[in-house]
Amino acid sequence: MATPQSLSAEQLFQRTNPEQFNFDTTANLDGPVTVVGQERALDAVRFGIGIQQKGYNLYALGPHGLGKYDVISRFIEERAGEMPIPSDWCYVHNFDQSYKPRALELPAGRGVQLRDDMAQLLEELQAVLPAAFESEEYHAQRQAIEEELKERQESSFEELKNKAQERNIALVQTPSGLAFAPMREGEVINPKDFLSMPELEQKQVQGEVEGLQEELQRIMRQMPQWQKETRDRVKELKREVATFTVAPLFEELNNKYADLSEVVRYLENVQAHVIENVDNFLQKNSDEENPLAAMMRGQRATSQPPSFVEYEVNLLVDNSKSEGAPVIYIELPTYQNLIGRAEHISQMGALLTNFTLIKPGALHEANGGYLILDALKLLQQPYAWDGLKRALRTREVTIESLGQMYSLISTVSLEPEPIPLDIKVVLLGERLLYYLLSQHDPEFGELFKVMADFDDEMERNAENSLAMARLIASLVQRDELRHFDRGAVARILEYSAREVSDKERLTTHLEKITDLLREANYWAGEAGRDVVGAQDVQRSIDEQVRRASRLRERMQESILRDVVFIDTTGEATGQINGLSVISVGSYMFGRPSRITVRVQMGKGEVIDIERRVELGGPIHSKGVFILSGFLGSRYATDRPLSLSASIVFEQSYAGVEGDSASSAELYALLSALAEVPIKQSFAITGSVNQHGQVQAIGGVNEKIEGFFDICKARGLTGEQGVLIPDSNVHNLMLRDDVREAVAAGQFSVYAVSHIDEGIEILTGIAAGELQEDGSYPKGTINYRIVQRIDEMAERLRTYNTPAPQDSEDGRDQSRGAHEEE
Amino acid sequence: MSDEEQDQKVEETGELVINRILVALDNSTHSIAALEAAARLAATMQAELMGLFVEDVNLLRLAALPLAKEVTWPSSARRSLDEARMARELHILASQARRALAIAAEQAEAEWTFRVVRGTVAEEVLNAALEADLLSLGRASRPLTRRVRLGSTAQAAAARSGRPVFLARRGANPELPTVVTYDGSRVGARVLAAAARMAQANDSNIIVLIMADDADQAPQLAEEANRWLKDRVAHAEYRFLPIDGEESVLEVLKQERCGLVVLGGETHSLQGPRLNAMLDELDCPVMLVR
Repeated sequence: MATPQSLSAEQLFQRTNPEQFNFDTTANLDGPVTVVGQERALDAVRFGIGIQQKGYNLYALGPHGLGKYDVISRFIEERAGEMPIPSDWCYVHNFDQSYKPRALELPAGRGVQLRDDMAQLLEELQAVLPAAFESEEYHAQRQAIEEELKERQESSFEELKNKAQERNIALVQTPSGLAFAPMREGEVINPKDFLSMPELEQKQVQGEVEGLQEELQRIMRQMPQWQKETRDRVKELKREVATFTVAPLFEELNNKYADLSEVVRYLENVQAHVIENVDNFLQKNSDEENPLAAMMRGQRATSQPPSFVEYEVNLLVDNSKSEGAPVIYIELPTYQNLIGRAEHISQMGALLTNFTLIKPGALHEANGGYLILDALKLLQQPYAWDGLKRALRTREVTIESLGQMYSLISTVSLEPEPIPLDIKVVLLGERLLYYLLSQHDPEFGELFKVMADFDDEMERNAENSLAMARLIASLVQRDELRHFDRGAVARILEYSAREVSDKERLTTHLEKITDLLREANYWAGEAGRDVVGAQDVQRSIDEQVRRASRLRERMQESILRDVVFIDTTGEATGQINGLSVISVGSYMFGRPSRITVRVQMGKGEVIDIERRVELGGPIHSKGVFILSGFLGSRYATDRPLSLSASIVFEQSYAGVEGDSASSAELYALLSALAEVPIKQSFAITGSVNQHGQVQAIGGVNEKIEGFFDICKARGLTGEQGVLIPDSNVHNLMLRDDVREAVAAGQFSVYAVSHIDEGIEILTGIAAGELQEDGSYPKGTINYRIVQRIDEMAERLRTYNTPAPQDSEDGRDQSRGAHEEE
Repeated sequence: MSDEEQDQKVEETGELVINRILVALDNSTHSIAALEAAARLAATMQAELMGLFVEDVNLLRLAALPLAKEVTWPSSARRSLDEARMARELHILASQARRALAIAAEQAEAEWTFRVVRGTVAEEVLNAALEADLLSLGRASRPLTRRVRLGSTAQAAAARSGRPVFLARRGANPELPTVVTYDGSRVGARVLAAAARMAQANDSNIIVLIMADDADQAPQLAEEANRWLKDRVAHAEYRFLPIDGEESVLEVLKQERCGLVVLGGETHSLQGPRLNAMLDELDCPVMLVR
């Protein structure tokens, strides 16, 4: 197997040639571009917005910062502008069941008219009704009715009184009622005088009194009926006067809303209610009294002025000024902000509500159009997700108070009539949320049938590069930044490729690009330039790195001060520099870690110390098992693997995860077995399979730069370098200084595809290919390993074989004693 | 204070002196209105309130009769009466009257006394009124119908009392104008002084009905009345009555929205049965000055 050559500086980076662009600065580029490289997602959005079927709501998935909201809102707004303006919605009083306000649908713009018309009507009613009831005609008629009652009562009593008087009996008032008393000389007869009267006379008087009492009772029993008759007649008179007075006002409104049958029906109800409750319009302000005082007296505050709230119109959705269908985005999608709520007002310590206190939610406002929501924010709000699903499933918005629903508060509540819902909801969120919802919520799939998957990278070709340049121009224009020259654009494209760690791809992460543009604009300003150049972009990148580098510098410092042991020169057996990546927020950096392997006699196991102490993750453990598999299949197919090897990440206290160090561990193991030292000037990354092939890993750029920084700080020797998987070469987008060192022969990057290539670079000794006789060429690494394994097997066999004894009995005894240990 | 002394006082100071007000209480709503009006006046004039409750001897006699039964109001049930229960019920009414007087006097910051006597109501009230400068009572006890005609005690007081009499009616609005008659007679000044006092107590305006014998006399009477009133009330209006009897007075009074009518004078329409008929018809509080 040929030893691979180190990569050239050109292989470590894919440059963007500014000359490929035919513009000088972004000022030469025109036309708004809001997105590039998202064709699949855009097709899904077009489809999702276009299809008008139940459940075809959208979920736009992709990492935060891709510009999903901008893209989707632009698409939706374009379409919404062509759609019809949705209806207005009002809540009005339900005259049959006051706790169930009625919803009225009116064409756009007529809701506000109805509200104003009703306010005007009320004003007029308050003027015309008191005037009608203050008229002389009304008073005369009412007085006539009431006089009739008085006359009726009076004549009955007078008649009775006269009848009694004829018998010299008086009708007198007692503290509790009325009584008849026989009189003598203008006064009630003295009891003694009465008893001295002949018995017959007494009986006669008594009989007369009883007769009068019966008659009095008859009159008194009739009185409530007379009063009721009078009240009914007064009521009927009021009804006649009120009907006559209000009819013209209502007729005008009925004509105006004749095309809206529901409104006409509502107006009929209002008219009937006004006529039935005309007394409310006749109460005078002077009758007002303190309701608290009334309550303290244990009475209802009957004289409280009427509010006439039942004749108001709560204009919930006003589309009078809308153009096309609404597009609504809410920052805080709480249950109430989505569904709407019925507010309460405090009155005398009690919480009261009515239909005018119903407030719309985003679903009301977006009805007939589109609602865009952030999925994570939605899911963070209690009951908001359930509320949204219920509305989408039933296709209507029902305002229900959570407090009522869960019996948390006990107060007057409303059950507003549900409003039909015709809406398209777009959720924006991370992929993980989409997958979790798909898996755990059976309704999710039914309600969000369209997935718009936003890609976080795109192909790096001439077309996309130009598209990205145009996007940059659009962002520059939108944020009113200095224009970028083509060198700066080229540098941004390189940064974009580095962001996705791929020479052949560009990031679509709009937020990162936008941040870089703004910061480069700032640095250009600081430098006094009118146009942003490549150096300003580079300054921004360097400053971003610098701002995030505190931890990286502390870690490098601990290596350079030999607190953490990392050798970059010399050789050592069973010891190697592995590479790992650390993430601090969105910033990643690489650092070397020492991996050591010790071998002793054993039962053919590879002990992963990290796993034993539960500091190793499952993927790391998998890597170690894989290299055990490789070891067994290569060296122990016809001999026992009588060894035990322990592998450890030295000075690692926080846990290890990933399999990118498995090739390094294998190299260290082979070195320990072969007892051949490894050059410590190298660091290694790459995972390995059971056939010894080296496989791709992530963070290759950061890892190389992490080791390079240590070597550079100690002084580059020309011997130092990094072994990476061959399949990671296309990921290389290394820093300038690394490339310069490689070009100068001070640092190397080797791309290896098999473990045998790597061990040869690390030890300077050929790995050795298996010969036809099943052996390896003498002096090679593999030969030495096989030799060592054989030696260990022999030693173990010797150790396990008991020394020759004089008698069979004695040998048996000895074995029995050993087993007991 | 005798009439002569009162006249002299009025002549000297232009004020009607009221030091003691007798309030006849029977716990009816009209008698409570009489108490309230008296308390307002007492507060203005620092007068003493003298409460009187009469245990009607006729009721006690009635209760002692073997045939005594009452028809209760408003249930119209019939039940027997007995003397002890009647006495107890009257005692309870007297206690309630005393409590009402105490509260009203406390609010008016007025001195007060309370007496319970047994006898014929009208006689006892008229006797007690001799010790007071004003008699205040309800225009009826508990009227049987909605029309509040003058009760027997009020009739007796109007006809026989030598003192000014205030006949209260429940539900009246004292802030409405005080209407007063003026005929230029001997008692005219006292009538005007009483009206001015009541208007002050009620914070109301005054309307003066000029009752002249002929058309020439009317402006002169108005001038006189104005002389009396100009320094005592904020605002006074004058109406000239046609000289054709009590019906026109009653018609004018019915048309005016008044809180109180102060009547007094030597005109024939304000005397005897005509006065009684007018009092019977008027549906507002009346103060009668002699």
